[in-house]
Amino acid sequence: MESIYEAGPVDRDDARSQLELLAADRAVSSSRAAAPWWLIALHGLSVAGFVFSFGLGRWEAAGFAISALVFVGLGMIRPWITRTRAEPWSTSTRAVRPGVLQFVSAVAIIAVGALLFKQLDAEWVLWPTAILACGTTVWFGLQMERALALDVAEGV
Amino acid sequence: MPGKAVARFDETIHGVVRLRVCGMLARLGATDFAVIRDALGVSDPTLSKHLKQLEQAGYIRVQKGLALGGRTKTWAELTDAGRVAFEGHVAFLREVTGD
Repeated sequence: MESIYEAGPVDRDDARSQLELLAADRAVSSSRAAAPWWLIALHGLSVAGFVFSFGLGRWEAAGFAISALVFVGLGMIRPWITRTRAEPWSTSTRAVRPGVLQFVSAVAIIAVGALLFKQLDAEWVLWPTAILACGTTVWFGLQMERALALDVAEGV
Repeated sequence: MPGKAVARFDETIHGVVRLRVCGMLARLGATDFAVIRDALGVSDPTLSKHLKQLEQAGYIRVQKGLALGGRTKTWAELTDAGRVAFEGHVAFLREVTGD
């Protein structure tokens, strides 16, 4: 087995040094793949903005639309910021779990908060709802970025 | 999946710069020219030359687009053929080292 490869286009030392180079590049790639913390924080704030839209009366729909557009827009500008197309949902299998938890928990918090707001007609309800929804989005968002970086670091 | 790749030496990918470019693109997907250049520590002409070789082999796609300030940004992305060739080459290297 050994003699075949020693006589081939790459000897063992060359092959080992090339694999080591790839391993070193993985660390660089993983730091490039993750989005900066402030982008995740802005995602959280757009979710908080969505929650506060419940208290905008006749401007409620505009508030929902604007905060949803900001949320989607932040996702769309991600490649401009990281300068790669790596992102948690499509690049990382590890990121799916925190991603699903982020979605489910944020929807549940917003649903309960909106229900309480309508039932009690108390604007203060929106504050804890917004803080919880924003915190959940940021927390799981950071988990997703860590999962992405880990998957990239352990890739080919 | 790298574990299932058929080990095959690839002359085009064998060059260290091209191997590293393919490695970055395999992990990150489409990536900005400047990011690859900085990560590899090579000059613009050197990277352009290697990207052209990979593009001619059908292993990458190079796309140009506008960036903020009207500047042109170049993005490179591994093609399916490039991914197969890269994973096969890495599998070959692992066979050689006995990993």
